[in-house]
Amino acid sequence: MNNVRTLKKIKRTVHFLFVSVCSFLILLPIYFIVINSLKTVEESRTLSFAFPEVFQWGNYTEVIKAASLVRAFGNSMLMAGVSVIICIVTGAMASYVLSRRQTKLYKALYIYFFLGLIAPVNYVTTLFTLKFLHLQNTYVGIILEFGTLGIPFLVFLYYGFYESIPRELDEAAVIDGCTPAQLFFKVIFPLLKPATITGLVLNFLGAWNDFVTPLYLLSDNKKLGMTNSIYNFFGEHFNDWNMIFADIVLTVLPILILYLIGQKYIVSGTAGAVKG
Amino acid sequence: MYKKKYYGLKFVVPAFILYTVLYIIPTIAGMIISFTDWNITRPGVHFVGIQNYINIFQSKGGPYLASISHTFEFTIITVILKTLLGLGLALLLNKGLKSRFVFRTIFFLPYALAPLIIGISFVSVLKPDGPFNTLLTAIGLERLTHSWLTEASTALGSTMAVEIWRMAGWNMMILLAGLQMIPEEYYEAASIDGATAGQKFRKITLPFLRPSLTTVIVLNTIHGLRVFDIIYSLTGGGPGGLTEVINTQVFKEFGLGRYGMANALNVVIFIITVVIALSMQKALRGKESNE
Amino acid sequence: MNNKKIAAMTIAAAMAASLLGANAVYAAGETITIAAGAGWVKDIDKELAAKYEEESGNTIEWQVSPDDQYENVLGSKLAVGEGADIFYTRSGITMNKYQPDKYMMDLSDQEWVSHYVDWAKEGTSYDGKVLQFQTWSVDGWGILYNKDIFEEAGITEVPTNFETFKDACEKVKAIGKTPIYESGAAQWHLGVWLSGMTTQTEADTPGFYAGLNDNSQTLAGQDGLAKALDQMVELNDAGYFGDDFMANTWEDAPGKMASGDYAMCVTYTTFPAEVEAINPEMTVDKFGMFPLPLNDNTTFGVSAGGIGRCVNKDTKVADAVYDYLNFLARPENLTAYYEARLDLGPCSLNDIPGNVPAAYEDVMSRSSVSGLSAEDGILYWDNTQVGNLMQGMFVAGSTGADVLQGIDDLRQPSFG
Repeated sequence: MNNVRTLKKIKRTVHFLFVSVCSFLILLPIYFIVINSLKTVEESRTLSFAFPEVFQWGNYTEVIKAASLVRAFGNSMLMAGVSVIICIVTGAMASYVLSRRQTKLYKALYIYFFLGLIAPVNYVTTLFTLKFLHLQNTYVGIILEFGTLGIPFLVFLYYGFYESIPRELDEAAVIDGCTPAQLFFKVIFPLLKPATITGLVLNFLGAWNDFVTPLYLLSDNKKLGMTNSIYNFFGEHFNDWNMIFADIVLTVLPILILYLIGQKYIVSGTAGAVKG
Repeated sequence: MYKKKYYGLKFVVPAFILYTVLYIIPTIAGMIISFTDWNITRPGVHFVGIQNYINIFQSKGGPYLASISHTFEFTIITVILKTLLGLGLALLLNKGLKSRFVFRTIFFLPYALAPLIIGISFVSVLKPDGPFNTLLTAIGLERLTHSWLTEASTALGSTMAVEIWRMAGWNMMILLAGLQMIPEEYYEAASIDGATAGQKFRKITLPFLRPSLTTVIVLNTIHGLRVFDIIYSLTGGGPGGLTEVINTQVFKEFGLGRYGMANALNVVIFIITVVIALSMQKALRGKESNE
Repeated sequence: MNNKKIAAMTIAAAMAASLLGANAVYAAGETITIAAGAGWVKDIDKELAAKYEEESGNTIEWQVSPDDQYENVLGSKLAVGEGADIFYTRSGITMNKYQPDKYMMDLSDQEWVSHYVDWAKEGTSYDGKVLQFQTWSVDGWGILYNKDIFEEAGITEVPTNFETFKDACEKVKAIGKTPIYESGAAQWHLGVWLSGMTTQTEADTPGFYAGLNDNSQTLAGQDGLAKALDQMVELNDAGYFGDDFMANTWEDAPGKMASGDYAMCVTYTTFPAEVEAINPEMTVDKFGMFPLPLNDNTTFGVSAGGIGRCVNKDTKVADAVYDYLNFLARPENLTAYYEARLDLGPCSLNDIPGNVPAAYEDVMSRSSVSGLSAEDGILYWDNTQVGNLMQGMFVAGSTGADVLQGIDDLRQPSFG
């Protein structure tokens, strides 16, 4: 008995060590970014792994002011937040019926959405379209566009997950007298928390990090989000590596927090998922 | 028959409208432009038939064919490695370790960084006198040091490595979501029957994971064929065009104002991707229903 | 949750978003939109704009994009009819890339035009009309050298041709320093070398640029340019660019020159001030400059005056835009501007002198003649793409003639 326990312990230690070594490869470049964000301009110019003489926490307050990050943060939250709700709700609904009904029409519709994963966004003609709708250079326009860009991915992501939910569950709910909306929103949708959180995090991130779409669809700098503020900042201060790295850290932070929160839900959402 | 009522088209309508208006219509408009000589540096737009496509397949006006072949090379290698690494990480971090949440966050971290930021950072990391070579030297592997992004033999490979670094955690995340939907009871039952770890993996994990594996393989392929940001920010298609891919060409054509050609290149990559992705989907998803 | 609730939520969210978007409606005066690359807009531009806003009651709305995206964004927005009221472009031939007749307002009768110095007026003119308000400076790319290192290496004469240039490099190498800092990772910077060399071809055979611009002339077959390119490979083979120069970045250039480990660098004439800012001991007077000596060149390729502001022909606030430009053209504002822009040399307008750097006078005195470089003189020339082809000489063994042919191939489709 003792032997088995020791063996388990060794196994766990090896497991831990192996994962640690792997994560080291990820953390090294990250460390590089963070440590350089805390140096003076002169120190950061050599771009080394070395510790700074004095930690320059002031870089952060300075960059928040210089790049108007508070406003940019609000813009990013608004654009990424609202657009992610739009695409999760519309995408999950569409994907559900597409995966449940395997008729020719529905299969064709699935492929129609799938193509959106592949075709590149055409900014010129999209700008034309938004202009036609009088939505160019507005938050509504960019939110709808971000939402739309997320739909194909979500349809695709959910499609696979719906397949793992037994149809008997639907049938039971129907017999219990659920309306179609109740069936979906009360019975099916909650089962897909892992997928929903995954899609939420990834799409939020996609919108958060996308800096090309706003360049074309939003002109006014005051409406731009955090990622765009970095690039403009980079253009204006291309030698101040410490500031650029500080800006980068600040932009990634909200995403990490979202991921950490999301993780909690992924786990709690799993318990008893398929048991129904 | 409850199907018509419960799985009605009205569930598709909101997504369909948004997607059609803001995505399909602009895309089709772009495809039409690909048959013209629209160049914003000159007045007038003329229909030129398939002339742009002929130019692509003769590499007239840019290294188009070389770009297509680099794109394929990039895609094949990154798809294989991203998927395998992602699966490995997902299995390692699914359960067991107490600290798995911390590790998951660490591996997911690179994906949270915008590709252009990763590019900016890795240009410094991979410099000949940069941290990566310093590290290699420190652990006694000095002969492995390179000027990673600027030597002909390592440039494209280095861009692939950075892309894998960025996306392995993303693969892990989707596969983890898949792993977590496998009911624990199956493993318990298998254990009672005396199944080995390998048998459990083959008979329970893999079949259950197939939908999410399909998802990541297909998406990795699409991402590979559409690669742009990482290459653009790491090498700009250099040195000497050795890492030029289709989308860096598209970007350059747009920069030159040659919208007809830029759109034609977009259509070419689109068609290539559709054919590959749909046949992969069919092959991979098809197997599921045989289970 | 049912369908109605979802719909209501979505609509509410959209409404909240549109409310947030509508906050600028109540400004008293006109709103002037200005599009520019991020590297072109400095703090002083923002300060002057703020001062103008206060004075006039008009609002300035900046539309700044990252430099490498700016041209694409500008082209697209003009094509869709969404161009800003004022948009920046390079002066010189680059203006031709944005259909001047269609998109650019004729500014010839503005008051400040009469204050333009010759190069500024020439660089901002197209078809006899002035199309830009430019507050920049004429500059060119020559070889900056560190006088102390030259002396230490025993170089008594500043190189005047390729042979003496190679000798100088050899002597620098002999004292253990790297002769030339070349940022080979920045493709555009390699392109700068060739962009400066075409000035020599134009000087030897006037009409060369005109022929390239009406597509009756090619770069292929220009033996002088091919030879110059092959000589760059020769320099690298001799080790004069140091190890792994293809990994050198341009952002590092000021620091490297300040370190005193490098003797020379291809750069612009205000560069020594940037070096001094990093290392106060490396003062501006420690540097001199001479023209690119490849193919025994003695000409100095210069810009058409840098960056200028075009006024959109479709602007609805033309009067406000003119008012803003007049405000910027006031001597006190020009003085403030050039005092803040130490990276700029002589002033485009003759009200104030600007900052004429010593290196500029130095390189001009060593040049037989100055003329436009390819970047501002040859239509559809792109230093980045040229540099990408040139990298091929160092990694894939292509020749100078291949590079020239490659540039022709890239330009050809643009003529239709």
